[in-house]
Amino acid sequence: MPYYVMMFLWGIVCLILQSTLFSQLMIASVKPDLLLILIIFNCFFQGPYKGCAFGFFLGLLEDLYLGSYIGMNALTKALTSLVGGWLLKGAFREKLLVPVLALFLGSIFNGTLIIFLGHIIGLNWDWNLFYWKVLPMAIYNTCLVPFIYSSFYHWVEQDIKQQSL
Amino acid sequence: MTKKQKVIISLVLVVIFYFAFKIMVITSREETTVLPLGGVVREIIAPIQKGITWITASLNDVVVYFNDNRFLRQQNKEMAEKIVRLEEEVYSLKEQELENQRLLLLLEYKEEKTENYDLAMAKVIGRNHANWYETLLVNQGSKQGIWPGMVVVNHDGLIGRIINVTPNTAEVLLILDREGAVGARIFENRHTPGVVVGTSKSQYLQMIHLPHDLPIEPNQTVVTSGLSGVYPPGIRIGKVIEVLPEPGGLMKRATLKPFVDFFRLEEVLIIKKVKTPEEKIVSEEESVVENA
Repeated sequence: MPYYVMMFLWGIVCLILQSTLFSQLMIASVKPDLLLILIIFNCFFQGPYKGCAFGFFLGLLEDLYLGSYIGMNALTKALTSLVGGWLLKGAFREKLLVPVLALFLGSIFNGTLIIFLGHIIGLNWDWNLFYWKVLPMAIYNTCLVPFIYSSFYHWVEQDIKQQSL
Repeated sequence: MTKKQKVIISLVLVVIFYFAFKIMVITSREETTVLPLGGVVREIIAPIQKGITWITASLNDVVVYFNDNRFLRQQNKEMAEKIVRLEEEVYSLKEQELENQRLLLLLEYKEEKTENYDLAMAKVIGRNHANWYETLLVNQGSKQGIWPGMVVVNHDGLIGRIINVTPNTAEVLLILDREGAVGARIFENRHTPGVVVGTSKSQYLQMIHLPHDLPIEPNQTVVTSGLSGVYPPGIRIGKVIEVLPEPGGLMKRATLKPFVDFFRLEEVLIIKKVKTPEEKIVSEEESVVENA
């Protein structure tokens, strides 16, 4: 199955899991942003531009699903992928530390952007949200990386091999 | 990627971001309506979501059940331990209360008799060393100035006498023992001398060698006469419950119920010194004269 079809399906799965299973697995009243994990992993292998497009697309899907502030997640996820893709160019992706750090910083960047955008459109959001939501979510996301990354990595490597055959 | 392509891509990005931002601002107004596309996404996902939510909720129920179970078991265990602890506490408090009552009675007795005797308190630490004798072991000995021959009483009456001591213990021969004869008389008429000894039925005493014409009746009180020289006169021994003729027919014997409950003794008083006897010793001759 083509890579992006697969990724799209994974995106849907993440969206569903996030609103169902992980609502039961909230820690410190936050749940992980699975879509963000998927998007950052994607820009590891696809670079900033494709990553940005995919981030935008999945972010938009999430926004449409949520129904309000359409474009907020699209924007933040696209920007996060773009910046992440640039910074991770040539990073050594076989090491687990790289995605762990990338996810942590990416989550913080993404969360900060959301608060920033919220401020711009006049939402009554406090910067304390950074401590109560962004930081715990970044830690939660980072903790999930070791469980997901190696399967994702092997899957992408296989996919690339198959396509090159 | 050429420079031109890069510029185009950047421009496209800027335009897309601008529109995304615009849409975000528009859809942020309070009266948001779900856009048709968003509605479709939701409608497609909803049934799947419903299924997964149901599964996770059921799983959660199972987890909660086991968690509760563990919690309840833990709680149950703690409660059981607490009950045991509290029961022990209640038991020990009851014990202390009973001891207090006993000690209070002894103290009252000691204060009452402070003119007559020099009393020392002792705790019973053992009973019946040998099967043949009715004895008690108490926790006061020669170090505390206790010597053989001293008389042991409590607030109810006569218990016995010390027969041997070690530095910190003393053995008391009870009046229940057949060897522990006590010179005694009837309290009500003062002048009916006899000897009180133990019987084979250990909870009773008997008063023997009573002349058959002596006025002795049930319910009379028997006290020490002081004639033996071992026991000071006037200490209560027991109550007459029946009077029977002795086998020869010339003498009578009386069965006594002792005032002291020998089976529940826990504290006793030892008479270290008799200051003034409770009663004057009445000699046998006098009693015979007065009776006549």
